[in-house]
Amino acid sequence: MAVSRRAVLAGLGGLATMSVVGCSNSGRSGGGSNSASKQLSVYYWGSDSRATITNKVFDVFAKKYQGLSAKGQFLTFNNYFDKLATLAASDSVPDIIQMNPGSLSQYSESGQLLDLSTLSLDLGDYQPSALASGQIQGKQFGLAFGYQYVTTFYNTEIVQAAGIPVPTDLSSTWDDWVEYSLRLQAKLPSGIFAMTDGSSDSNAFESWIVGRGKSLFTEDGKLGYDVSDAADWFNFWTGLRAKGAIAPAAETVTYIQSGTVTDSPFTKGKAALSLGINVGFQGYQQVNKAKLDVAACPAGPDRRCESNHFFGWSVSAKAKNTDAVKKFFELWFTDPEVIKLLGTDRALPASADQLAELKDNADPATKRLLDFSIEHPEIKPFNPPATPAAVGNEQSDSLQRAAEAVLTGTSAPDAAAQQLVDDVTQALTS
Amino acid sequence: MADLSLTKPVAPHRLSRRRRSSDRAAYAFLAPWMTGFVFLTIGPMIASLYLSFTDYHLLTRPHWIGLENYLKLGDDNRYRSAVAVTLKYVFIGVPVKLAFALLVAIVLRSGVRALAVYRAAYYVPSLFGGSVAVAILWRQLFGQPGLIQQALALIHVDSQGWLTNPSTALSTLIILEVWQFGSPMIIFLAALRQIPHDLYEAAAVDGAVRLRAFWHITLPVLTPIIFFNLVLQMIGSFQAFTPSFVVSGGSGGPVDSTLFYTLYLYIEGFGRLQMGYASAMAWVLLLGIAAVTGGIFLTSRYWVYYGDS
Repeated sequence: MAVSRRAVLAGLGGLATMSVVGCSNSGRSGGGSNSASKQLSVYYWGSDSRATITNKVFDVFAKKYQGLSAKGQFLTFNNYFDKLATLAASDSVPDIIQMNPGSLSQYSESGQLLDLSTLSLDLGDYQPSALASGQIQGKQFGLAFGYQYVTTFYNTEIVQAAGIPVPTDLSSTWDDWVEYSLRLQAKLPSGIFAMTDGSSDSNAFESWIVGRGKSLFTEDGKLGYDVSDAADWFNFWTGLRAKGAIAPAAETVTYIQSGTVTDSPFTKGKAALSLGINVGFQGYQQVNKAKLDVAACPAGPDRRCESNHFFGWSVSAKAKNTDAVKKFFELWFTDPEVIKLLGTDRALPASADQLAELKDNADPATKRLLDFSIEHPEIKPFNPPATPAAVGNEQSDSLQRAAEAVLTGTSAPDAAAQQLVDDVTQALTS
Repeated sequence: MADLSLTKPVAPHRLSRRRRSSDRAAYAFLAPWMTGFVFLTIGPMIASLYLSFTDYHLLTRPHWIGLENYLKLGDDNRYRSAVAVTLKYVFIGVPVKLAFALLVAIVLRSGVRALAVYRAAYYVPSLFGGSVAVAILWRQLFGQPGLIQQALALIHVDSQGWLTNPSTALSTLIILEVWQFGSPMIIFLAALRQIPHDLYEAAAVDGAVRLRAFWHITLPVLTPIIFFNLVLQMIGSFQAFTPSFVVSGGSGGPVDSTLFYTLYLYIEGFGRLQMGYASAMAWVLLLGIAAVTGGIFLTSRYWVYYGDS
């Protein structure tokens, strides 16, 4: 026999190794900068329904511009920025990236993002204040999807059964809502609570801070609130729990750790009210059996709560085909077909015409959300100072740890507040 | 094998040419692995050693800061709790796991019917125990509300969610670790079969009952295997990552109670982009594992009995 058994086995082994090495190369994803520049790579987080919507927009883009296309990669929020960091480190940042305020600062400061004013975008009647939310030190590093701010969602079935309508007055304060929650709680069957615990929700916390005439960070990049603001926040929630008006701590921790809407006590029909970003409404409605409705978020003593959280697109500084990016954005923000597809999945459009147009063909949940914003023209979302780059997402991470410490009884509210301020201050100075 | 016949002397030059060509073949086949080893293991290790002495924010250029990262570790409260969590996990998890593996191995050896089936069944958790799917399963079992909690409620035991309580969350991850006892069990089983039967017969003649035989024969003879398993499992446990990452949603929560060393390293490196600091952490971990392993080796002369010594 000319070929020994050993030679065959060794050869097979070698082949197998090579094919494994080969696989790991072809399995590489992202890589916007080195793939053909006719195809834009788009990176975003969200739910399955957001992915479906986004893919449809990509189809419209490819149909309208022959030869160009867009390919998406979507993740859940929990892993999103970790993965983006690895892509950045390996120099393969996708062309178009979905961003939140902390990361917008981080990535723009390190020169990873393109100043979008260089694209000379024509975005129709897109509102200047939405545009401003994506600016950092005068440069347009982000393009907000539109407006989003905190609101209160409620389960209409639970509220109607109890027979106590929710406050509709926009100037209702946190105290008014506590008073309401307690009246509601008295009428609720056991095991159902007036509110979900929002102590770990960084957007709700920001509303609390702006309601006191402050902001999370100051214009010159310092911490904008103090220990007593945070202590009042945690005491607010422990007070409600002591009165039996919010969902149990253990279930709240479960929800915090999984981070998916389906694990929220609100979605499980165990709580009547929940604070949430307005555009999350549709997502909640999709997984809720009961019909939901939307009301304003609690106002503070000094100011209403509608601070606009930047949420939008950024573009890699290394994107090759900026002309395609320009076409993509103009399509995204002005094409009637695309506007209809997007609905309010990411934000309320920053265009009065589009709001009105959307309303005509919207599904009931979207329609309700649009109606709410049209009924209340006095809601004028405002842009808080940018999150300092050194902080990144540490404000929300630290808030989550501090809230968990209170929820699990590891720390008293005051100690947790001190810890929160210490952690964020440390991040600011590191 | 057969072509290098020992009975027929082979001409020296033929041997060397044959050897040279087989050397070349060996290197050719080693090349894929060597490439990976040099570029994917040694290279990154040297790079991370360098980076550990720099202030390296992932998106900007590193600059040299000497020992600052290492010194900062001492003042970092989260780092300290990560070390404490990891030590607890390793020093409770590994001994319990090995004891359990040995127990099951002994039970299986003592003549169970359909041994192969049991052996395979017990080995299965080790195959996928470290996977994401099982970590998710664990979240369902021990979560709030979870199966374990509901089962306990049936017998009127009121329990909080195991994973949502900082004082029990780590224990559930230790149980997950112990559950993957399959591979040390297989090694124990093989070793148990090597113990000469006449040792037990001699002991029986001397009147030693089962438990005494275990303490005086089985355990001492097994010490080299226990030593081997201990070293392997320790090294593996120090590097555990997936269970905590998945079960806590990547945060190490609740309240850092499941913040494994590697998870904190990951959070600092990829969450906060402090790659220099994370590299320093990785090197301290390497040194820590080396120290513990070295410690086990040093003590081994007092408790490991090799048959030939």
